[in-house]
This record gives sequence, structure tokens and C-alpha cells, in this order.
Amino acid sequence: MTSVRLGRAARVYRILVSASLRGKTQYRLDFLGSTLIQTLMGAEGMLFIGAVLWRFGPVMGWSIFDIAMLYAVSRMGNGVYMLLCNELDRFELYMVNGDFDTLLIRPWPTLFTLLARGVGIDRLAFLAQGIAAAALAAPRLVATGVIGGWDAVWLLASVAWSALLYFAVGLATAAAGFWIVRIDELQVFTMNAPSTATSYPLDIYPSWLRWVFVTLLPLGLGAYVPLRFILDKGGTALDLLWPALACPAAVWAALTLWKTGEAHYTSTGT
Amino acid sequence: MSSMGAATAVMADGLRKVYCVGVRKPGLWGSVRQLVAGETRDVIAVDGVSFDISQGEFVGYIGPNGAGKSTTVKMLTGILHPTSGHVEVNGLSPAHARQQVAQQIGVVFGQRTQLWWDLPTIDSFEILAAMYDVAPADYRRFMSEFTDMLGLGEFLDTPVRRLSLGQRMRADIAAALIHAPRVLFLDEPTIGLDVMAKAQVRGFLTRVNRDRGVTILLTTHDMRDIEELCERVMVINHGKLMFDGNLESLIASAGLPTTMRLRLSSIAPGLAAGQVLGKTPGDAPECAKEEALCVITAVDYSARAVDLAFDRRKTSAPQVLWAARELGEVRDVSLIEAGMEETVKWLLA
Repeated sequence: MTSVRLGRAARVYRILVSASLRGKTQYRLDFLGSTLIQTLMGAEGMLFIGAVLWRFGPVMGWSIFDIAMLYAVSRMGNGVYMLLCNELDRFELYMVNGDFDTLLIRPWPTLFTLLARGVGIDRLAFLAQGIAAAALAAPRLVATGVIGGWDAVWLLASVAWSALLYFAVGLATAAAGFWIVRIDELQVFTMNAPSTATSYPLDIYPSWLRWVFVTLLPLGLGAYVPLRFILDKGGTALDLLWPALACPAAVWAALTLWKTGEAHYTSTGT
Repeated sequence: MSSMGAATAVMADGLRKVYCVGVRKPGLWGSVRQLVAGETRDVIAVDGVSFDISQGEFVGYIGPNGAGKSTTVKMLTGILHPTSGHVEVNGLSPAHARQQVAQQIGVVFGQRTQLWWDLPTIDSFEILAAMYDVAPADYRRFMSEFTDMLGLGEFLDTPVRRLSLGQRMRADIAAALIHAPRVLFLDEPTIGLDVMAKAQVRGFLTRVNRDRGVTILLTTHDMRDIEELCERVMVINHGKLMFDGNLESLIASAGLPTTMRLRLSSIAPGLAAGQVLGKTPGDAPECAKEEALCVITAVDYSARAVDLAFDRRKTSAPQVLWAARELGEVRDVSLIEAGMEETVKWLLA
């Protein structure tokens, strides 16, 4: 892609995102209500775990602050994904209504126009929850010497890996819609449930489930695997490297599936 | 990719699209069986369609619901990939060079707007101008010309969701032309429009085709669209191309009967539809020497009118008049030719 094309892409992306935001704010009450619900959703899980840990102490070596940091990294990765890739979450509608037609008649990659059409500004709460949890955990972890030095960089890298893995799994799930059309239930299985499960230490799950969360549905690979090493809960320095190798591979596989699925798109009758 | 003649805008060669669909059995148990067994069958939507459309042509593409019109258009625009066969638009394959083809074509789906639903209409034009990299001067010229031609000015600031169907269709057609495409695909652009809105859309499309040389492929169920706009018509049914030619040859190929309506001074009792007239007697004038055959198709006693159907290829109007003299004194005569509607019905029957 030439720099001219990149410049055009940036301009078109900005214009489409701006249109999406203006469209959402046309329905002010719905926008505010949706933002409020998203803020409340997810926070209750962390509050529950916090209450349990406060009462019973560390779980399998993970203190409440360790878990809060893991939750923060996972939540921030999810938040970045929700902000930039919100339309993948709504992709079933494009298949059921045949709205994907309108993306195919434009002179841009379909994934580019799809993502630009619906930035999840009302889902900023996910990112905010992650930042709040990190702000809560970091001072204590620094004070107790659990993290320090370059760990901040590795934690930020983990947020990036986590976001990329959310994108890969979300994109692959959406691409399945080219064949099966209805993907809402599949998204619960591949995105929603693993997202919640991998926000907490995988040590609490049976080994086969841990394996699933770092291979088939690898949302645990972005946050849990590197944080296990960063927070001194086991593992080796290689745990910082695995996501760097796995994320590009996962994104490439998802993009390939998307490209293949596009050719299988059957549209709807008119 | 095969090379194309310079004058060819759209080419389809052996175009075929097969959908694999689940076999559904009635009832709950049938649904469960379908879910478990996953039995499927092939549905052939388009079956070996071939045609060439030259630059600047205005072609009508007609057929009943489910005939394969929209599927063809979707393959020509890169939305669907053909199961087999080959398509080229301006020398490019929509399946393999979708983005380049999209830059050169405009598409309107009458039943699905491509505008931004919640935003003022003008915003959709600005967004599309950016997406197609339309130069600011070209965009200003476009807005100035099209605002006049399509009367867009009255609703440019209105959100798309509040537009009437006619306004929305005008905006959709303008949006499809914002990047000055050389080929325009229109899938039922007049569906649901009132008479005035249809006339306005037809007038505009005529000008776009005539003045700008835009090649247009139009699918429609309204035969008036075809009669008023298209010099060439293609008829598709059950996925196969049944006819490809001009309107006159379509009507001639059908050979549908012409109707002669006679108004008589009086009607003899006992006259009824189905009665055959016209074994030419020996004393017939020169113009009616051939055997004239016509059949009564309707009798209206109160209006003293009789309709006679005859085949123009075998029988002339004077012959029919000669044969009809036995009905009584003729006060008035009018001829009604079979139109597109009847011809297409006959072709698809």
C-alpha cells in the first residue's frame, strides 16, 4: 500500500468513524442508556471476585492485586477491541439482512469499511474498567516489589497482544457467518465466555480448559501467559515471547478465513 | 483474463450460480431431522447465461421473481462469486478485482438504500465522495448538476430515514453516480414509486444514458420502464436466458394476436366469444383473396362492440374487416397491438 493510499485510507476511516458517531448520537437516550449498561456490565464480576478474595485470601498464589492486574490487562485488551471492532460483534445482522452487499460495492476492503462503520464509543466502559483496575493494583504491586523496571512495558505489550487476540478470535467468529449466517450463539461460546474466564488466573481451571484458552480460543495467551511470569506466578521468560509469535499467526489465520468466507457470501433475496 | 473488444462494457460467458440449501421438512420433527442430517440440495439460480453489453447501451433485464435477475446483477457487481463461468466489467473480473470494478461502476438496489440512514442526505454524498476520491471541483459540479436534475435541494438536509420512497430513490441514484461511473446497474429502481416519481426517475435515467454515455443494465417488473428506456431487452426465467434482442423483435417473436375492436350499429343476437369468422368467399376483393381467419374474443352488447383477434403475420386488417362484414354495419374500428406485458407473459408461460 503506497503512502498516498494510506493517506486516503486514514481520511476515509476518519470520515466513516465521524459518520458513525454522528449516527449514534442521533438517538441520545439510547446512546446514554447503552453506555451506562456497558459500564455496569462486567464490573460486577470483578466486585464479586474482590469480595471473595478479601474474605478468603489468595487463590492458588494469586493475591487480589495480582488478579486485579490480570483483569485490567484482559479488560483493556477487550476494551480496545470493542472500541475499534464493534461491528464484528454485530456481524450477524450483516449476514441476516444482506447488508454486507453495501460493503462489497465500495472500492475498499470490506473489513476496513465494516470496522469504520461502527466504532464502539458506547463501549468505552470496558477500557475504563481496565484502567481503573490497573490504577488500583499497580501501586500495591510496585510497593511490594512484584512489578518494577521494564514490567510496565511488558504489561502494555500484553494489552496489545490481548487486543490482537480478541480481534483474531472475533474476526474468525464473524467469518463463520459467511457459512452459517447466525453467529450470536457462537460468539457467546468463542468470545463472551472465554473473555470472562480468561480475566481470571487460568490456574483455577482444569488443565484441558487451560489448554483450550491458550490454543483453540487463545484469549488467555495475551494476558494470563505473560502476566504469570511478570507477577512471579511461574513460567519462564519465554512466556513473554509466545504471544509475539502467536498473535500475528492468529490474525493471519483469521484474515485468511475472512477472505475465504467473502467468496462464499450468498447475500439475501431481494 | 480474456481480452475484450473496446466497445464492450459488460460481458458474461456461461455464467452459473448454484446455491446449496438445506432441505426442510415440515413440522418440528422435520426441523430436528434437517438439523441432524444436514440434508442439502443444489438450487441453480443462474444457469449458463451469456451476453455482451456494449458501451452506452441501455439494457432491460427482466423475468419473474426468482428468475435469477438479482443474482446475475450481484455477480456482475462483485457481490457474489460465480459458481462457474466468467464475467468482465470494463475488462476486469468483479470476483478477482472487486475494488477496481467498484471504482468504475454504480449500483442501485431499489429495495435497499446505500445511504447513511440516520444522517442528513448531504452527508451520504460527502462520505461517498471521500470513499471514491472525487476531486472537490468535480464534487461541486456534481452537486450543482444533480441537485437541479433530480430536485435534491428540497431534502438535502433531511435525514435519510425521513425521506419518502421517491426522494430516497432519487438520492440513491445520485449517490451511485457521484464518482462518474461508466456502467450503472439498477435493480428495480422504480419499485413502489408513484406515477410521478417513476416518470422523474425514467427521465433522469434517459438523460444519464444519452448525455453521459453511461452504460445501464436495468432489472424491473414494470414493463413501462422497459418500453420507455431500453433499446434492448434480455428475458431470464429459471436461470436461463430466454430472449436477447430489441423490443420489436421480442414482440414479433411472440407472434401474439392483434385485436381489432369494432363498434357496430347493431349486434345480431347469438354472437359469442370463440366464434370463428372469415372463410374467404370467391367474390372477395383482391386485398382479401387469402383465407382470412379471426376469432371473436369479446362481445359487448350494451356498447355494441366486438373484439376480434387475428395473427398479423397471416392475416391483414382489411381481410379481417371483410370477414367481419357479416356482423353488421361497422361504425368505428381500432387496432390494439399486444404490448410488452402480454409478450413477456407469453414468453414466460
